[in-house]
Amino acid sequence: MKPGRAATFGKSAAQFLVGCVRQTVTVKPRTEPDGGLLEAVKQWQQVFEHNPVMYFMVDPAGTVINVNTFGAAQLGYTTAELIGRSVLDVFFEEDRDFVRACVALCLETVDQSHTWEIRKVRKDGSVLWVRENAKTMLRADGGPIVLVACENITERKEAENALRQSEAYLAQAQELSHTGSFGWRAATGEITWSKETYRIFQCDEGTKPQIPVMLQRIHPEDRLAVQQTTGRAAREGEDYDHEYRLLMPDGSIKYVRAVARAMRDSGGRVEFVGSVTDITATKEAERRLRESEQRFRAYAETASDWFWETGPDHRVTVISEHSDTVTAPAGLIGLTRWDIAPDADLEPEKWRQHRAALDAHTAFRDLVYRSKDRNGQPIYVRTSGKPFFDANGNFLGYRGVCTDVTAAIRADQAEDALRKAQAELAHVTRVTTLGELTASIAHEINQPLAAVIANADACLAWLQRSPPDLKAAGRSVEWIIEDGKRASDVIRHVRALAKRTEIEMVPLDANLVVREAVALVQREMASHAVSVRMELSSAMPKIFGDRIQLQQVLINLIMNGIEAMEDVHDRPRELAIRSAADGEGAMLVSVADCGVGIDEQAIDRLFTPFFTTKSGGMGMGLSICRSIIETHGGRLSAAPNQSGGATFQITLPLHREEAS
Amino acid sequence: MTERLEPSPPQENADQPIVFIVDDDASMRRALTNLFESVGLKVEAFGSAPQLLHAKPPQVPSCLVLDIRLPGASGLDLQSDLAKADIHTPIIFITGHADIPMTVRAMKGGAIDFLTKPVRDQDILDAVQAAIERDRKRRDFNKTVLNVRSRFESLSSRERDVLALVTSGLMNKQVAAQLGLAEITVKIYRGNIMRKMGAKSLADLVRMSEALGIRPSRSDAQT
Repeated sequence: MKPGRAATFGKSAAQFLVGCVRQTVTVKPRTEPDGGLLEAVKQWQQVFEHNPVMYFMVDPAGTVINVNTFGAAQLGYTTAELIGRSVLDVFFEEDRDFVRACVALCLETVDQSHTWEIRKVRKDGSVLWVRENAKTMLRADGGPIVLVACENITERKEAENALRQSEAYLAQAQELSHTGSFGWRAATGEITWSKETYRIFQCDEGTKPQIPVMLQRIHPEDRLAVQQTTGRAAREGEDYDHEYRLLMPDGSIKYVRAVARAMRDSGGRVEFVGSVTDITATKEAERRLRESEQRFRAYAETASDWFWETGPDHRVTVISEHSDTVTAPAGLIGLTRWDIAPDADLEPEKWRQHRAALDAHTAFRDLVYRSKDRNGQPIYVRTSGKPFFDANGNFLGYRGVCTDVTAAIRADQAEDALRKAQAELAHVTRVTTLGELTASIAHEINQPLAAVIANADACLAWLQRSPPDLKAAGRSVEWIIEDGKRASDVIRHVRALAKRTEIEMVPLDANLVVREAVALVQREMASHAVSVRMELSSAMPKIFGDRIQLQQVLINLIMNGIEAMEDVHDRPRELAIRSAADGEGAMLVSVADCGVGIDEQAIDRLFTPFFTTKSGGMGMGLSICRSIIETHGGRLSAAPNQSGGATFQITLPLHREEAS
Repeated sequence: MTERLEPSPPQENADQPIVFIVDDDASMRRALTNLFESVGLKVEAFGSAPQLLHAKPPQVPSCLVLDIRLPGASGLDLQSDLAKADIHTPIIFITGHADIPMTVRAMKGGAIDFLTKPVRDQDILDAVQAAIERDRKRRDFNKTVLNVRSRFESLSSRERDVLALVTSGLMNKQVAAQLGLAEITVKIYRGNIMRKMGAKSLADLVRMSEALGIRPSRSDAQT
C-alpha cells in the first residue's frame, strides 16, 4: 500500500485502544473518585504511555495536545517538547500539504478511521517511516480532536526499497546481458518469465507464458530437439543446458541458450529455475571469426607463403599446412633457422645479427636466406617474425611468415648481370674510343709539360742574369706549378675514363661535364680543322649521373660529328654544342654538325647495335650511348638539320632536389 | 744546359728584334713568352692566326714561333697565307708530335726549323737567334738591292745594254761589235756606268747585276 493513501481502517486493536483512551481522557476526575475506575484509568494510562505505538492527539489547528512517551521518544523528543507544537513540525516540508489534507479529511468524517503511510522527521533530521491510523472524535464539549496512532514501518520500507532496487538491478542486468530468467513447474506446466525473457521471446508481458506459445516461437527445425531435452529433464528431474533458434515474427532468427536447474518443491515435484540468454550476437561474432579464419587460411594457402612458429629455444614448433606443398619445406620441426640455411657459414655476420635480434626478443623483417624446397631444390626464402609472450610477459617464441623469393632474387641477379655486362661493354668501347684519342690525349698531357719545361728554362735564365731577376724567376715557378697540376688533372681524367667500370651517380654540373669532354677532343677537332661553337646556358641546374659515362657519350657524339664532316671542303667545319634547361624538369645537351647528315631511314636503325656507316666501325658506339643515357633516365635522339648535317640530342632529368 | 745564351742587355732602340708567338694554348703561350723574355728578347704573342694577320707587319728583324696545330686554320695554312701576303718573316714550327709529310711541307714552305714539344730551350733559342739573324740579313740585303735598283734606274737604256754585256764577261771590243758601236764609245759608257752604279771594280758591278737579276741564269746566287 502506498504511503498517503487513506483508507478506512477496520476494527483493530488500535481502534479499540483509541476508543479506550477516549474514555480515559474524557472522564473527568471526580471529587470522590471511584477506586475501581481510577485503577482502570491508571492501567490504561500505563498502556498509553508504554505501548510501543506512537499516539498523538491533535486539535483541529494541528497543535499537539498530547503524545505518549514512546511516540515522543521515537522522534527524539520529550513529550513536553512536542505538546503545544504544531504537528507539522515532525513532517517534511514537502509532505505537509498531504498531512493537512489528511487531518482535514479526518475532521470532515468524524468517527471514521483513516490510514496512510508517511515519513516523519526526527529531531536529528533522520527519517522515520510510519503507518498512521487516525480518527476524529468529538470531545465532551463537542469540540473535535484527532487521534493518531503510528506504527514504525521504517524497516519494512527499507526492505521494500532494497527489494525494489535489487529487482531493478536484476532487470537491468538481465537486459544488459540479454539474459532472462524463468521458472517452470513441470508438474503443472506453470511458467514464469522475467521481463527480459518476455523481451527475448518478443511476447507481450501481459500474456501468460505457456509451452505451446513457446514452441510456436521456436524454430521449426529445433522444436523437436527442445521438446526432447526438456521432456527428458522433466522426467528425470535433471538440469539441462541447450541452444536453439527462435523464429521471430519479422522472419529474423535469434539464437538462445537456455540453462535450467532442476529442484524439487516440498511436495517432491520437479520444478526448474533457469536462464535464457540471447546469444545471437555471440553466434554472429563466432560466425565472423570463423569466416575470418577461413579467409586468412584461404589467403595463406593460395599465397605461396607459409607460417611458422618457434619456441623459446628458436626451434620450429609449427609449420602451416599448405595446399602447395612443393615450396614449403618439410621436416623442419625441431630445427633452428640456422640449421636449415646452408648459407649460415658463408654469411656469419648476417646470422650473428639475426640471432642477436632473436635473443633480444625483437621483431625482425625480411631476412633472406637460402634453403631447400621439398624436392631438395635450392630456394631463397624471405622471412619476418614477431615474438609472442604469455599473459605474464614470458617469452614463448616467435611467429612469422616465410615467402619463396627465389624468382625475384634470380631476376635481380640477372638484372645485375645485365647491368654489369652493359657497364663492361661501355667500358670496352670507352677504352676503344680512348685509343682513337691517343694523339689528342698525348697532346693534352704534353702541352702543359712543354710549358713546364719552357718556364723552368726561363726561370734558370732569370736567375742567371746579373743581378738575378728573382721576381720573374718566382713567377716562372708559380706557372710551372700551375701547368704541372694541369698535366696531372688530364692524366687523372684519362685514367678515370680508362679504368672505372662501376657507375657512380652524383649531382653534376652539366656544363662542366661538356667542357671536360670537349677538352679531350680539342686536338682531334683541330687536326680535322673543325671549330667548335659552345652555347652553354649559364644557369644550368644540376643533373644526376655518372660523369665518366656521360663524357663517354659526348666524346662519342663529337667524334661522330668530326667524322661526318671529313668530306666537307666547301664550308667551315663547325660543331655546335649547346646546353639548355627545357623548363620541364629536364635539360638538353645537343651536338650538331654540318656534315653529310643522316638518311631519314637510317635514323631508326642508328641506335641499334652493329649498325654502322663506317667501314671500320663496330656499330656499337651509338647503341651504347643510348643505353647509357637511358640508364640515366634520359633519351638520346638524332635528327637531320635543315641546313645539312645532323643533331644528336641528349635529354636528361634534373637532379631531383634541383628540379623541385 | 751549360752552354746558355748570355742574356743580351736590354736594347730600347727601334731595331730591337721581335719574336712573334702564335699558340692557342694560353699556358704554352705564357711559357714561351717567359722563356724568350728571360734572354732579353722582345715578344708579341697571339692566340690565333687571324690575330697575327691583323697585326701590323713588323719593320724590325723578327721571327715567328708557330704551333703547327692551330684551331681553324693550321700553322701550315698560316705559313702560306703569310707568303701570299708577301710577309717573309722566318718561321719556326713547334708541334706536339711531328709527322713526316707535315715536316716536309713546312720546310718546303721555308721554315727555319721544326721542333717538337717539349722543346729544349737551347734548340729553340738557337733557332730563334738564327731566324732573327737571317731576317736581319734579308732585310739588309733587301735594302742593298733597293739601293742598287734605284741606281740602275738612273742608267740610260744604252748604258743598261752595255752593263748587261760587260757583266756577262765580254771584252769592250766584243761589246762594241755586238752593239755596233766604236770601242771608245763603249769605254765612255762603261765609265759612266761605274760612276752611276757606285762600283769600284768590275767584280762589284757583276755582283750588283746579279742582285738585280740581270743575269737570270745565275740568279740563284740571290740567297
